[in-house]
Amino acid sequence: MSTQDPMTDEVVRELRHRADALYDAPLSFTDVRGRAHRIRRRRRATAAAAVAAAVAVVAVVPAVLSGSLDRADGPDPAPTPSRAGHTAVLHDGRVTLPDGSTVGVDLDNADVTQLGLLTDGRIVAATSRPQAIQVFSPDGDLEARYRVPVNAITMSPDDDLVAWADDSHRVEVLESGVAEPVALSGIPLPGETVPTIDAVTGSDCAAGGCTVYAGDGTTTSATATLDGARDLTAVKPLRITDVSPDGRLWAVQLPHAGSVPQLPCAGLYDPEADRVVARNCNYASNLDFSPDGQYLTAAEGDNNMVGKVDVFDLGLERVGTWQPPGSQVVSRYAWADATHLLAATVGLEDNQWSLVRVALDFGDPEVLAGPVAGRNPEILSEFLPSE
Amino acid sequence: MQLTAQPGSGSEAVVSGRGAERDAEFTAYLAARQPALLRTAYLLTGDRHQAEDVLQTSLAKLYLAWDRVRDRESVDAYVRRIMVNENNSLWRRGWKRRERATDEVPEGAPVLDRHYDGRNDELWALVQTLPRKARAVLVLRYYEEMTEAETADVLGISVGTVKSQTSRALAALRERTPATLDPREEER
Repeated sequence: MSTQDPMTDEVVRELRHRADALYDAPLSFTDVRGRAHRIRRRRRATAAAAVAAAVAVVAVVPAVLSGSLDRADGPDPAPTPSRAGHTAVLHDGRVTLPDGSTVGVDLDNADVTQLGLLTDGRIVAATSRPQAIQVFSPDGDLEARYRVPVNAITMSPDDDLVAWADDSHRVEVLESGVAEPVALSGIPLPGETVPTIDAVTGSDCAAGGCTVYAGDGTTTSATATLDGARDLTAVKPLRITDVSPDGRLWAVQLPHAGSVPQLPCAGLYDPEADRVVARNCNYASNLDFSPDGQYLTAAEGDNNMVGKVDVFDLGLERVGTWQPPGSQVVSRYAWADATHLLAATVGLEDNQWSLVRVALDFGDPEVLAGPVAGRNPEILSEFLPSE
Repeated sequence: MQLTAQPGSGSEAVVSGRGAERDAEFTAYLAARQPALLRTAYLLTGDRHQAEDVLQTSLAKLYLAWDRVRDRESVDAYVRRIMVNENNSLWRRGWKRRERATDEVPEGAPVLDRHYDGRNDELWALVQTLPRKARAVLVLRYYEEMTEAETADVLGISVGTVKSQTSRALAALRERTPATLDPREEER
């Protein structure tokens, strides 16, 4: 393999020389099978512990939140990468993690606007009192508090990164496995506009491997990296609402081209090809990819609540809708796993809160917690799922 | 075909003919592919002992999933993906060590196989300073000679990310390479 680049050729030679010096096969079938048995035992123990936690705790979300126990045999051989369910839920001062365990945190749901769970176990909360981004250790201890002009966070598709805008309007990115956030360039916006961070992708931010996509809240207009900010070049104005787990598709809001101009269209955009590959202009907004990237949720919010949650396929055809019964509404929702939604529901007349899990056949939901008396859904969610 | 032990002898005594066949298939795969996979693991980790550990865990996970990997042509790609993930996970589990990419070449030489002639130790040490994911891109692209699309598939990232990570990794190596080691200097 010659690449016509001396450094590349030198690296290729070096890798080959290093590798070629290794020729033996140290592992026997017994070695491999022995470790396989240990892995299997550990998985079973984890599953049993998770089930026990779900059964024993009354007002706590069961372990089946994530559905990850079904996927414990490692990555599937299918070529499409899949993100395991990684949703945590904050309720009554405790965060229930995907494995069913709970962590106490000094947070009141009334003060938390968004919750994030990094893959290293740290919990990140955007809070209104104090107006800050707060980072908690996996054990629930407060590790850091960052003052912010806008209490909002954005997670990467793999939950390895969380980004926010700091007091100087720069973008901060905290990476799983790294203690401190990395400051990227500010996003140039008119006046004193604080950038809205629409997406963050990449890895190894300290080495320049991360990209933040940001704008003014209506259009994603720029990218920021360690090297600086640049205008986003896309075929047409758009706002990113989510990035697929493999990074190959963006869920976007597009200006409406039809008869109801005040309503945006939703679309799926291929950034490599620079084209919109699917579009829906019929009330599909705030698209959010499922963990396997095969479906998307959408919902229209009003007064901090939504009436129903729609699920779309990758052609942006609606595959179903879930609506809680009676006078209940949905306060927050998220993907529990590739085939289930989590929804915090509340009765408008009695403020009785529940957390339910909804399969994509949209049958009767499974009640994971509640009903419990709670506060006004117009100002908070008593069950707050992570982003 | 299933060979069942006498009733009452307990479930552990149930011997599956399919299981024996499966183990034989896996053993054959292990014999054929282990040396090559160990080499890849070594390049990913930069350490012989860690490479064996990553390889053993990856093969164990493959063994558990063996029946689900229907397409035997894709087994290598499947194991490589597990190895990359496992290598990254090892790093994540130790995140409190606060490992970061650095411009400084770490002290001490990496563990070398006794048959290696020690050529170009400095460049190898520089490769070790790259972030793990960037190193994985280089290994898959330039050692495994995968296409950008194949590399993207194994790593679960986009082709664009493969391109940018490759470019950035090579740029970092160029920047960090002392003039005496820079192949461009030899050409002058």
